[in-house]
Amino acid sequence: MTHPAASPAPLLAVDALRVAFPGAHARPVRAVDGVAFTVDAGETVCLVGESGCGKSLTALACLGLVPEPGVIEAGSRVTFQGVELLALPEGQRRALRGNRLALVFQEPMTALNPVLTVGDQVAEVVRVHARASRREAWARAVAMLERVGVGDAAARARQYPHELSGGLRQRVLIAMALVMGPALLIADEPTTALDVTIQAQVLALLRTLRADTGMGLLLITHDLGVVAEMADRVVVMYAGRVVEEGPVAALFAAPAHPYTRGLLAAMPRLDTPDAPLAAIPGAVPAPGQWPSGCPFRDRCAHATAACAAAEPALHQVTPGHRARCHLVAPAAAGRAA
Amino acid sequence: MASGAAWGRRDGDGVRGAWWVLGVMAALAAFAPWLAPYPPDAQLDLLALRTQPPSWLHPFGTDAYGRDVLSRVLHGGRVSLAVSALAVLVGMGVATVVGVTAAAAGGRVDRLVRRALEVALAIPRLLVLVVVAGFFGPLPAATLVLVIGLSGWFDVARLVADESAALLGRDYVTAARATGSGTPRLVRRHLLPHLVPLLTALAPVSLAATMAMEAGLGLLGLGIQPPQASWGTILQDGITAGPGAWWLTVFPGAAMLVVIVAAHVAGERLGAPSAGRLRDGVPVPQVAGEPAPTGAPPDAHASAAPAGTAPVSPSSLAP
Repeated sequence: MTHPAASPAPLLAVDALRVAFPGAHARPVRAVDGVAFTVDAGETVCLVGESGCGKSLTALACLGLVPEPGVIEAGSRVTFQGVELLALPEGQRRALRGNRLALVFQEPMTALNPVLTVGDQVAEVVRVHARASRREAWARAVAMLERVGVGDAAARARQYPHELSGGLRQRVLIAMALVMGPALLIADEPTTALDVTIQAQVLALLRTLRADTGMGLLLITHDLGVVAEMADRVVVMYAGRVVEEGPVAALFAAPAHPYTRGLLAAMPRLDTPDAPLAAIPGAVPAPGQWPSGCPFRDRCAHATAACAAAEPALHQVTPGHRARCHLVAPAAAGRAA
Repeated sequence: MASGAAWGRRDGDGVRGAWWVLGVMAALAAFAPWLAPYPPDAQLDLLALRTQPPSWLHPFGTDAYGRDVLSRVLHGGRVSLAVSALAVLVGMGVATVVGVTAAAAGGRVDRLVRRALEVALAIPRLLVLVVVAGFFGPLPAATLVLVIGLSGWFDVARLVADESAALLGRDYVTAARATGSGTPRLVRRHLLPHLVPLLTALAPVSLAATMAMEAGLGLLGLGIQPPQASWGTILQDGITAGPGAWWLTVFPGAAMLVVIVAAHVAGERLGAPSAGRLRDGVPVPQVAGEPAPTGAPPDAHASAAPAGTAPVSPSSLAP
């Protein structure tokens, strides 16, 4: 049993994570470039960013599951419960996956095998990790399905994915992830494919389960509404880097990075319904086509010559709140003060 | 697309009909000893029945040795279909193992296997068979099965590798990986069942090609050896007998044509519907009436029990 805040070491610590894909002219393209963040037990951390910023890849890399031909570069560190995951042999990493740290996928429509019953697929996880008979595994699967709010779980378990609604399928995926009682759950856009009412139900379920089990939750999303509702801390990614991180209240109240400000401004608000939505100009450049210096400078209204010259470091804004921007550099902050 | 249109309104009808035709042909072959009016090798009357055209007593005529061609076609079908079907099983088995292994291993192994398959595909199959059969002399049937089976699986292996690579990229496979499933389990649970539609579509087409191959070898005198009947050897008899004895080539030829066309139609449209009904594992081979391949479920033997032996227990006979 892990006790929240009992140990100073975080549950999951990602450091200098770099994922590269072979590119043209034998020059590897880094899709994730030096990402670092931590998740504590009992904490919900939201990883936010536009499509293509490296969120999902970061999640997969945490499990050592980067798709071919991607490679996790040397020097990357993913420490889970004090164990360096990336240094473990694949067999031991596999014993942890689905058992101590689990992943919920984005697409409930495609993440279930269409020719196996859903109960079978949940029970499978039990059979992989525990010495359980078919009957025991099935019983645990049904109990877990019940727990994630699948009504009449015993009957549902015998159904095939195509017989279930999207919301139910997402619950099945959550049951698959949680059946072994993991210490950390990584949920990659778990509500993106669902309609709004079901979204709210699934989020509420995740919150309840996190509270009940004391697990850490790394929630990947591009939906700032979800972030506001769920997160303790937020990590904002852009172009494969962490550009801002901090407690959710601080980050929403005083976003320090122009990109975060842009994201927040692009959100529709109920209190000013007639105001036009702000958009961030341009689109996320493809990995390998990022500009020199700060990768956001092409789209940034505040870009200066300094931004092209050097990539900014993560500067502290307030304790626990940091942003990767020259504007919050100590010198600039000193001048402003 | 609708090549089955001539058979029925929907493609499904044609496919179902084709499987029926294949089943009937397999049954005829399987029960040849009971159906054939004469033993296939019996020289009934060397003088009176020498190369006689079809008649009521001999609907397919007789050959130069006074043998009944109908009996020979039935028995020959038994041999030709058995050799072809077993060769297809051998070939598809090897192809599946190689294709799945390449796709599951990925990276360098995958590239190496694919290059090797391309090289193998570039060598004409008939040439290999003729060389092997010519070099080692007439081959016994079991060896013939192996040689034909092992010389023709490369294209299937490539298709299996492609399909497997695509299937292994599916979300649910990544999801299963994320729950800690190892590669053998992924292959067993999430890959093989999904390969079944591809394999069941390829098997009949492969059977057609193999049958033609087997008959071709028989025709060249390199396959099944006379006096044993196979469709190939009967055709050969027809060729030696000359152009007048059309019944020696038409009947075995027509039998082959029926099987080959039916096999192509059967393989044409076979997709998702069968995948939905599958649970674990691979299906039982569908060629009915063939000698049960090793590894078939034991009840396959039970159903093939001799029809003549009535299930009477000794106790019921007791007074």
